[in-house]
Amino acid sequence: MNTQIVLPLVNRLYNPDDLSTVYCLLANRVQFLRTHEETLQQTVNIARAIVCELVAARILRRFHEDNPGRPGLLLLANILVSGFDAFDAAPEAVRRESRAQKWHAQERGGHERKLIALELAILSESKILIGSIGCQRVVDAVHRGLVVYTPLSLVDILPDHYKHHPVSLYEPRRAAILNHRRLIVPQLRNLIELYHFAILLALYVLTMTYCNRFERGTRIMTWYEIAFDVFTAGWVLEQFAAIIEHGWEVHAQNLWSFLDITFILIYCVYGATRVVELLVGIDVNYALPILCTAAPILLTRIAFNLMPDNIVFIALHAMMRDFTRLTFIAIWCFTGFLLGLLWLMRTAFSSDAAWEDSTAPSWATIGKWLLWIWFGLDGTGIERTAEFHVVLGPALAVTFAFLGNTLFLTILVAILTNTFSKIMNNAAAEVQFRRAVLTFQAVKSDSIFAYPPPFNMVALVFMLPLRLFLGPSAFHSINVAVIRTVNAPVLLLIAFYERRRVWSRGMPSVHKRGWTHFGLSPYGDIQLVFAEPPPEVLDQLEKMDVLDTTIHTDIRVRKSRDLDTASMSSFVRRRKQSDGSQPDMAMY
Amino acid sequence: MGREDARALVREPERDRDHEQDDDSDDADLDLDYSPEAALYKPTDNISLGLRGRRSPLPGARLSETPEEVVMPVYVTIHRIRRLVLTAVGPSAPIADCPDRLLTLCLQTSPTLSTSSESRE
Repeated sequence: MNTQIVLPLVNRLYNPDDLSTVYCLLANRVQFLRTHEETLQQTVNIARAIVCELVAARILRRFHEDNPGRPGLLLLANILVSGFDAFDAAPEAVRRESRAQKWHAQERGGHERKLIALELAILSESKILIGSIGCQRVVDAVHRGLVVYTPLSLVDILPDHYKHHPVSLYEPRRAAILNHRRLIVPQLRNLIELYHFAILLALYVLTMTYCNRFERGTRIMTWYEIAFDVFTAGWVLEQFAAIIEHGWEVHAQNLWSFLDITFILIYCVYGATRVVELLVGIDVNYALPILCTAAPILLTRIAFNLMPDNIVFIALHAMMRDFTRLTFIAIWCFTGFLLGLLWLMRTAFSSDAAWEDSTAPSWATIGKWLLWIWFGLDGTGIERTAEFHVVLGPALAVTFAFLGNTLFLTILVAILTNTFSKIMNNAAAEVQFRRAVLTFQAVKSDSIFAYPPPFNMVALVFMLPLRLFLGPSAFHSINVAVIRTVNAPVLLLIAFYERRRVWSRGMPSVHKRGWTHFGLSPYGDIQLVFAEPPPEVLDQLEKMDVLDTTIHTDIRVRKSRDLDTASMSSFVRRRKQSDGSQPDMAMY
Repeated sequence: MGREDARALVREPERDRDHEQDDDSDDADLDLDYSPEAALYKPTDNISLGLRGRRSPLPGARLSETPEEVVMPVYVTIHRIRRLVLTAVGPSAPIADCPDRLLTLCLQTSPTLSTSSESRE
């Protein structure tokens, strides 16, 4: 298969001068995956999509092998993270037609409607390509901020597209001290976002801890609650901007996207309820109990943040998706049982008036019985439904127990097990894929992200209208000045950290030994022995093994013949000449 | 515009240095990073490079001279690939009904183990 299909395609399509081939292959993959359910040739289109990914991975690998070093990294980065327009070089009529069908994109100085290959790879879940060494090299460089570029996005809330910097390598020593573009370096961005979330969590804990200090139902809010509300509003704005930046499809690939959405929903319901409580002023307290339900979400989320590469969380994300889908289907189907039992109960009464006067169970009670049966907790429903109808009531309940408890739960467990085993079998690729997603999403285009919450709301209120009155250049200057002022301490820290990291390259390395620093680790020597050897040892090594392109041949020749004593002696003699010490023959 | 040397993308930042000339120098730090020289920069020679100072931007350059002038025939390539893949994996192809097997076979063959020269034979 490889020789007959994949390699001929690679040989035909690989062109060292055409950087768009990988993008085009991934565009085709996305299209094959999108149409595979619509056509009769379902499996054929999946096979085609896989072929596209394999060919893309091979072509990227050839680029990687043919272009070593930093220029090669720049070339690979251009392939994966520079924008391409799918209608480049298309006939004018085709371009016009496609533009007419699409929603008007934000002005970006000629970069509208462009997409990058890495985004398509994430969208089509091309885990083989993302796991390839060339792609990982770029992802790692982008993650560490070695490769920088101006990202492209779908919609920006506070757009500042005056400048567009193509893909380039970053050199911190030549950078300004307050370089606001470092705020979108994924490694730093993830840390900043974690810091923001930790603040949110701390405010939440303080709000809930001190919520009973004052009399309930009054108009009084604690300072902690006010701070939490304001900060969280800014955080929600940031999340909203993140969702619309690349669309929900890409955002949903983030491990904790489902937790964020759940928390935002809880916060919105809490906010609306709290506003009503404060305005009406009646002696009720609904808002804070609603906010209590956010605790499991927030604590889980910070665990996801701290261990994004943990395979358990990656599996949890995938299983959660399956679970949500299956639960939705189950609720949809089993609503029929609820309605059937409700109507069966009404038929047991002679008239509507008799039914209304009776103490018959409500729909919530019947729903609760069904839920207990579903989880296998309680059989009250089976007994009580006999009051509705002697035969049909228990028959419905038993059927539900069979379908819901036995069949559905078995399917659910089977599907979740299958998903988990798939992820575990391909754990390395999954981790690399999630890392690529995190890296790609952290490079933000919208300048609203440069403002930390809750300053982003202030920026939205003041800067967005300012954009209408100022030209792009003037707006850009003001925007950058404000961003630098607001983020001055963070930018100074980043500048110090990056310069220190560069300076330390030329100096003797300081080993991070942790426990070994105190000599507490029994395996400390194993780590220490791999420190860079001194020059005299390197010299000896050079003399012992001449490394060149013929090393493989040399090794093969050596294997084919037995090392006799004479050759061993000369081997040892060489070492003796080099350092003048008496070698230990036992070593060899 | 016809096909140009795509590798110009790697060099193109050189033409983009003027961005900083007409502005508030908010990102003037990046101007040299786009140059091929920066691409060839090695961490080992950091001291001398670091003390050399900032190079003035190219005179006369304009914002309109943006990298996107290098146009890739993306539209044509997309349709070319589609045609090739549709031909290679047709409905009657033996692999059409077993994508997983295809994937497994291809992965087993050489993605990581074979050298580039072997895979190109």
